[in-house]
Amino acid sequence: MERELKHLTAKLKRGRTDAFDKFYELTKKGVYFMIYSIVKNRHLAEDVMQDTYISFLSKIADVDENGNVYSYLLTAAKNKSLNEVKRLGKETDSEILETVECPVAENLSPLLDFAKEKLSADEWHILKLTVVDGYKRVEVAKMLSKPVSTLNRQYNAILAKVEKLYKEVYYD
Amino acid sequence: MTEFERKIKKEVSDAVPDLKGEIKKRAGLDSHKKPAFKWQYALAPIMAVLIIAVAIFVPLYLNNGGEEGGTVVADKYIMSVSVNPSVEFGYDNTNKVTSQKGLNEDGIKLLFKENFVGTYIDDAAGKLIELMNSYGYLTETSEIKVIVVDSNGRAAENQTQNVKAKIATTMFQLKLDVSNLVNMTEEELERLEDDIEKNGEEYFNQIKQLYQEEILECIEWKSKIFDEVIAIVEPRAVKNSQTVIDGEFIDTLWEYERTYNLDMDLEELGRVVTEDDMCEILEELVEEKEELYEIHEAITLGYTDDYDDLIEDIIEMVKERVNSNNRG
Repeated sequence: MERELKHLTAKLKRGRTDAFDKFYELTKKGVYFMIYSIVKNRHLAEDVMQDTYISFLSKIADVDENGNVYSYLLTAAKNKSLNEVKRLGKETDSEILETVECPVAENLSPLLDFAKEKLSADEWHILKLTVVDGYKRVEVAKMLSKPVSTLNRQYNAILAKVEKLYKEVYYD
Repeated sequence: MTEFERKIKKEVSDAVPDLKGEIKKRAGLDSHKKPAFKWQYALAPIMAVLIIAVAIFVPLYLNNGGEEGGTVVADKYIMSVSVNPSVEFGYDNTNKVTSQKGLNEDGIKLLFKENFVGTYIDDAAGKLIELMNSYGYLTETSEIKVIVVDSNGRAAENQTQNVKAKIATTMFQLKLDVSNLVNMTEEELERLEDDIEKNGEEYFNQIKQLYQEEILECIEWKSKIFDEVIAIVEPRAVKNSQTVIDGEFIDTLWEYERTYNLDMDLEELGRVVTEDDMCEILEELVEEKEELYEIHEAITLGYTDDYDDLIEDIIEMVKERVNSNNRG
């Protein structure tokens, strides 16, 4: 995903606006989950999400495609969300203030909420990077300095674990 | 992808609104599409020597409406189109496609990695005809048989006429003989459905195997291309050297980039290219080749679901080869 985002950002910088569709598809989950986790309201989250991307596009000339574009976008989403919360006088979780990573909002996906509760921190990290942030397993393996085959085994074991627990809780 | 994995991914995806239309509108983005890369031109000489093995995996299962590709929303209508290939699309009362399924072997191949779900049925019908035509399934004499049935399996005449009108428009645009567009009978549809019910799993497994082998072979082929280019670039990649690279050398790289859809970021180079610049290109090439190797390893180990957009060009090539080499 990172390399793709780099290329898509470079294209957007050159005025290739057709690159936006794919860019949005690759990043929308992480961005939306980040925003929702802060503003905790779907309508508000949609407004902030639009503002985040529009602002990103308007500043595209200044975006460094060789940097971490995804992280840049998440930071922008977080800041806009916090501003909105401040404007409305809402309270913010301190955990969110400390991280740039998508904290994963509760109540958007019951299955993810369940997984977060049942998995260890490491397992949850792998699942989140893949399912919410949209990184390929090849990329996650690189990020965590593991061979692809090891990561794949872990990933499948994580899914199997969540599935088993989920069935035990909801079907047995 | 397991059913459970798909369930989580779908749940996460469904939670996110699709705002890109609104964002594009508000940001004043207009459409500017790059012409599609034509593999048939690039690969003509290679195709002659490549042995055609072939293969597919999980997304096909979804495409073919297997146990994991079932629809969430009940279909209101089912449109079936039969030429050879034969396919069917389920769609709901908002005319949006909710499911897709190959009704015979070629139908399964045709729908590989194609997603019609979420599009309007008339758009899907038009695109389907274009797709069949692009792979050469439609000839001057090909009869295109169409029927739409409702959720009780009864022919829905008005719906059939609507879909036929769209298909006729597309056929006209493609300069195909519109008189070849006819109604499929309910008996013909039943025969197709009986066959796919009886043999669908076997067809699916054969095609899955076919695509998997093909994708692995194409990855190996592309790795060799990377080796070729790396061998060319390596001697000229000299850290901190300001020696200027001649235009002919750059042209050779451009040729590779264009012909084999490599991503060397040549367009990022300045007017004067030095041996130091070549280091970055070499790094990019090596990284891409390593990534291909990792994907190859993962597919060989049976983890096949997560790499489609990393090997988009290879998927396109395989789709074309599978459909081109298996027409009757």
